[in-house]
Amino acid sequence: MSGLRDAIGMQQRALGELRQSRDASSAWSDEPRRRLDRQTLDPLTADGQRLLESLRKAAHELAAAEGMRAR
Amino acid sequence: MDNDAIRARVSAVREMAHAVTSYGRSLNAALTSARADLNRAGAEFQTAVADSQRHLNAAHRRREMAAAELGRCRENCEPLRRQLAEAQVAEQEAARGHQANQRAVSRFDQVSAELLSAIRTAEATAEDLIPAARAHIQEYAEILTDYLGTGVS
Repeated sequence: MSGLRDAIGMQQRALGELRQSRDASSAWSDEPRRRLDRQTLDPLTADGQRLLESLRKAAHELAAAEGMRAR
Repeated sequence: MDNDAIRARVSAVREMAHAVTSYGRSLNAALTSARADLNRAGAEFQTAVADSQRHLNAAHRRREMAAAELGRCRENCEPLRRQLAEAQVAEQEAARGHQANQRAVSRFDQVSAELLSAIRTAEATAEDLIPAARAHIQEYAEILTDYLGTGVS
């Protein structure tokens, strides 16, 4: 399950960096920026967060399924 | 807006362009890693089910052979009776193990289907939004660069 754990770590870092860059680029704050946020970055971030939650849930469920296997 | 403010904005726009590109790369790496793990785990679950099926078949054959031997026995049959009892227990254990593996693979299939669906959604969203964001940023960066080039403040 190390691949899923790696994926969770990568997606966490990717989302963190995207959020950090969005905050750090606050010098760009006009209507085009608001449109960029509304039309692309907000949904991209929300979808990335949903993916992260799906990865976490899958890692948990996969561990449970592996625990069900006969030894 | 003076040139310094425009330059600060250009820098912020470049930061966003880099961030969006970097996010796309990291997302792809995460999805590749998740898919590889699902494939690996899927193969392991299938192997476990195939192994337990073979184990169950072998236990079934041993129990049938033990029963046949006992059926042919005419005297001093107690050892064969014990052998059959042991074979029956072994077959029941093999059946329980196989059922556990079947339930595990069924749960894995559900987990895998749900995660693959989430991955496909994330890919489709990224394929749509990342190029759109980059185009939007690029277009805006060009407008700002033109401002700086013409010295408009």
